Amino acid sequence: MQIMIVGGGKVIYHLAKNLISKGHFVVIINRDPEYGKSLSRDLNATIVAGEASDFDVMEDAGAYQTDILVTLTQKDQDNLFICKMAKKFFGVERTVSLVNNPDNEKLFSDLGIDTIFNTTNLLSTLIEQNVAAEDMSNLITLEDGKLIITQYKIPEGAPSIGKSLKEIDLPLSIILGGIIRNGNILIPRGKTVIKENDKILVISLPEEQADAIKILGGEEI
Amino acid sequence: MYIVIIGSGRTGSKLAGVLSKEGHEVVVIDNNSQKFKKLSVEFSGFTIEGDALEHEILRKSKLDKADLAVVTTDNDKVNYMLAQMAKKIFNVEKILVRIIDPEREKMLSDVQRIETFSPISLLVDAFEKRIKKVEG
Repeated sequence: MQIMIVGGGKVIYHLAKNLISKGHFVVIINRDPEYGKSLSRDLNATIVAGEASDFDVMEDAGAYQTDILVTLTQKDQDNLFICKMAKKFFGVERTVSLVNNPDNEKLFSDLGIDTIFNTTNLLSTLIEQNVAAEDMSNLITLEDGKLIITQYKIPEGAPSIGKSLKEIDLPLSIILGGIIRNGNILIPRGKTVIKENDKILVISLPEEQADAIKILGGEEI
Repeated sequence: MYIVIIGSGRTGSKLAGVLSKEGHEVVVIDNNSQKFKKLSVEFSGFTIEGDALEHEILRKSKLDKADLAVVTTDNDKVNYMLAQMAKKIFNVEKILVRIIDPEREKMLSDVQRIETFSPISLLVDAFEKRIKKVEG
C-alpha cells in the first residue's frame, strides 16, 4: 500500500521504518528540508519538503496514488485541513489523524476522518488503569475506550476462588470471555469454577472494570 | 444581530467598528490583546483575549447564540477549522470566512452555511470589472 505521513519527530521515523519493513511504500511530507535530508539518509522512503496543505505539494507527493494518509502534526487545524483535502480532492480512501486537543475528537469524526487517536485520552486511560492492579493488563480498548478487554490474573486468596461463575454475582454488563488455565483455554460456563492463577479475559465498560476486578479478586482499584 | 468576529487584525477590527456603529451586538476574539487597540472609537462591543481554537474561548463568546460568525485570522487552516467548529459544534446559522489562498476556497465551496471570501479573488474580480468598463 502507499502510505503518506505528514509531520515530524522520532515517531515518524520509527513508524515509517516499521511500515517500510512490512512492504509498504511510504511518503513523508515535512516543512523542514533539513529534517527531510536527515530522514532520507536513514529511510528508504520518499521525502517531500513542503507545506502539505498546499495542493501542489500534495499532488507532487503522490496524493492521487495514496491509499492511507496519516497526519501527526502538533496542530489540529493542520491535521484536519490536510485530511479533508486528501479525501475531497485526491480521493484518498482512509485518513488517520492525531488529535492534540481532546475537545476536537468529535469534530474530526463528524467531518469524516476515519481513524482518530487522541493521545491525551489514550495516556490518561493507560495511567488510570495501570496504577492499581499489577495482576491486570489491558489488552484492547474499542471505540475510543468505550469498551475494554482486560486480562486479569486471579491472585492468592481471592474471594472468587473455588466458586462457580453462577455463584459469583457479576453485573450482567460484564462478560467473561475466556479463562486461561495452565496454558489451556476454557470457555466459561455457569458451572465453571475459578481457581487461583487463572487468567480471565474480562470484557466490560471502562467504568465497570473496577467492579469486575473487585468481585473476582477482592482488590480495590 | 449578534455577531462574533474571530481575529482582530486590520479586517476584523475594521469590520467590528462598522457593524457596531450600525447597531449590531459585536464580540471580537483575538489571542493578542494588543490587536484590540485597532478597534475604532465607534466600537461598543466586547473583546475576548484567547485562542479561539480552544472550545472554552468560543463558549465564552456565546457563539452558540450568534446569528453570524466572521472568521478573519491570518491562517487559512485555522480559519477552516474555526468555520467548521462554528457550524458543527456551535450551530451558527451563517459563517463568513476569509481564505487567503484562493485555491483553498474550494475546500469550503460546497459546504452549507459557510461562505468564503478570498482577498485575492475579490481584487482580481474588481480589477476585471473595472477593465471591462474601460474597454467600454
